[in-house]
Amino acid sequence: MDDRSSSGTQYPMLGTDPREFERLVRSHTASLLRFATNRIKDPAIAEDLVQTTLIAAWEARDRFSGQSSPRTWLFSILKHKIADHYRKAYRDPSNGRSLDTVDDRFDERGHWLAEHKPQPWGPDDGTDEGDALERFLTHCLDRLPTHWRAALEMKYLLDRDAAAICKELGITATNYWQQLHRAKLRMRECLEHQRKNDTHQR
Amino acid sequence: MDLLISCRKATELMEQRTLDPLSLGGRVQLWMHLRICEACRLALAQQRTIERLLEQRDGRTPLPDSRVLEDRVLNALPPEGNGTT
Repeated sequence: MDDRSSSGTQYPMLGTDPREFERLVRSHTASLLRFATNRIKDPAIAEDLVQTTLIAAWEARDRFSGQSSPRTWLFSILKHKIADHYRKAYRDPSNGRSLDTVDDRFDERGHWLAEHKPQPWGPDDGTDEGDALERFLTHCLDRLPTHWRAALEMKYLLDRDAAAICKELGITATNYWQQLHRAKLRMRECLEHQRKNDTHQR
Repeated sequence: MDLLISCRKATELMEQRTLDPLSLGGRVQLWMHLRICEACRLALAQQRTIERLLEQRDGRTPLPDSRVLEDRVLNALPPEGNGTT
């Protein structure tokens, strides 16, 4: 069952030398922190998750097999921690579930309501490289209700595996589509507003 | 199956498609709808932009200064010798 020959790469095992681990911490913490703060609104929670990730890695260092790079290994631990954070946040009933029934962008026949109908995002109609939009991305993500943010982030944390996501969140696929759909509509609209205000200010 | 679907249904299918392939019926419904609905064509282009932004956000964000956190982590590590090796 040795797949070293097929993968071709083997990373050195992590020793018990603390200086070796310190080098790992010094080289990867900034990227881990960026990853976490891009996905979690509260910077203190993001820092916390990175810290517990690194401590978990230290405690499990003798189980690091060297089949993936230490960086990939650290990121997979962090992804698990963030998914776990969102699983708990999602199941917390205090996170504004009432919005699910009232928030809609369509009339009773399912057509766009006039004030919510998509508008072009500028001369390039949203097909540009997103340079202007990416500045608003975090702002708009942070304004999503927590459980919608959870539904959205889970999609990327669990590599679009719908069955795994529904299991984590404890909901049906239909319920998950609806939440994802609403989260994305809200994102679309928020980015549109931000873009419009920005253009007006120039 | 109803071939003509609403904008709500069309945008749902667009989102669903980012996770799983649509059924043949769903693909036909979406295709028919997009042919006649300009607003949903726009929504689709924008959805793709959002999807790309979400996928690429780390590469487009500057690295934070994490030295304080690094020191905190290194100080919080359980002492050497507690490992199983």
